Amino acid sequence: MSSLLRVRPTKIELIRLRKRLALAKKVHRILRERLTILVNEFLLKVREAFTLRRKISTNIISVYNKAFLLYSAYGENIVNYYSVNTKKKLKAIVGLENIMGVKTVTVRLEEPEYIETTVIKDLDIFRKECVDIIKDIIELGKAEKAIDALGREILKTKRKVNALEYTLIPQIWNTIRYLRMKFEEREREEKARLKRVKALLERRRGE
Amino acid sequence: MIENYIERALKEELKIINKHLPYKRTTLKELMKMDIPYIVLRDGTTHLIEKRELELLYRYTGDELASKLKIPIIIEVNPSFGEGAAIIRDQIAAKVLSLILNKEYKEGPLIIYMPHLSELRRILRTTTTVIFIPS
Repeated sequence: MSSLLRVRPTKIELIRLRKRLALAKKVHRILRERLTILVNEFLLKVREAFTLRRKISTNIISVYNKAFLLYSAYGENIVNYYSVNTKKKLKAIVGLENIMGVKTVTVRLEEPEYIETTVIKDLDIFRKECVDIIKDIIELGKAEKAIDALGREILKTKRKVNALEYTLIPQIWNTIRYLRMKFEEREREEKARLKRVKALLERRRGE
Repeated sequence: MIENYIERALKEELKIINKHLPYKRTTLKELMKMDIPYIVLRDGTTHLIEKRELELLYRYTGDELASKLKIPIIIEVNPSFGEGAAIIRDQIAAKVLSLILNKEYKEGPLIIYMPHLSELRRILRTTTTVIFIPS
């Protein structure tokens, strides 16, 4: 890409270019700030996803073990009876969350209502742990979805910032410099021409 | 010709940078009453708000200030303040956020820096929003 813009060497064009340079710098500054904040959000989400994944990995083993033990101790019927006891099923509300212009999916979990029974306390604990793990899995899904969306937005913003920083602003700046040099040259030419005309007139007057 | 497009694109970029701002801000108390708290943004989308965050804010504000605190709390980022600095102009919000951040606050706008901003966004992700002011 040429380092100069194709413009007519006129004063009005120089003024226009100066305005464009100011605008480009303003956009560049804002986009850079946005990029910093987006990267921060991205890192927060990565940390959150990492913690959640680790938590789920440790909890899921204990939940599986408990499920196996309960099944073997009480059989299938009692577990089915407990699932029937859940008054309201686990309900998820899916909506949008906007993180600095980046839209991500968010899910809100509605807690089911349980009938607490003291007959088999282990099953109550197991059920609570299951709900907790589902909540964590949903949170992890949200975080990973946000990471994906934020990552894409960061790439886009970074490309814009780089285009401004390394292409557009230097191009405008070089063109302004070129135009200034051109005008100075014109001025010098004009001075030299005037001197010549003056010398010519003086010579004629002398004759 | 192409220069005009570039200029237009730059101007457009400044226009869309704050499209994630709310169309209308709602008070904390009103949001607490909602079954599914949400706000409508300038781009027409709805933004769901976490109830957990609202409850946290309510704990800090109390009943009286809850009817005055507007949600989402706007954090202003202006490159002229210097890189990484942000400002909260709303006095009630500034008071509440200073309590959450454990930061000293007397009067006027609250100035925070990048680590504070990260912490704030971690705690109050859906109830705060960042506005970019071109300078």
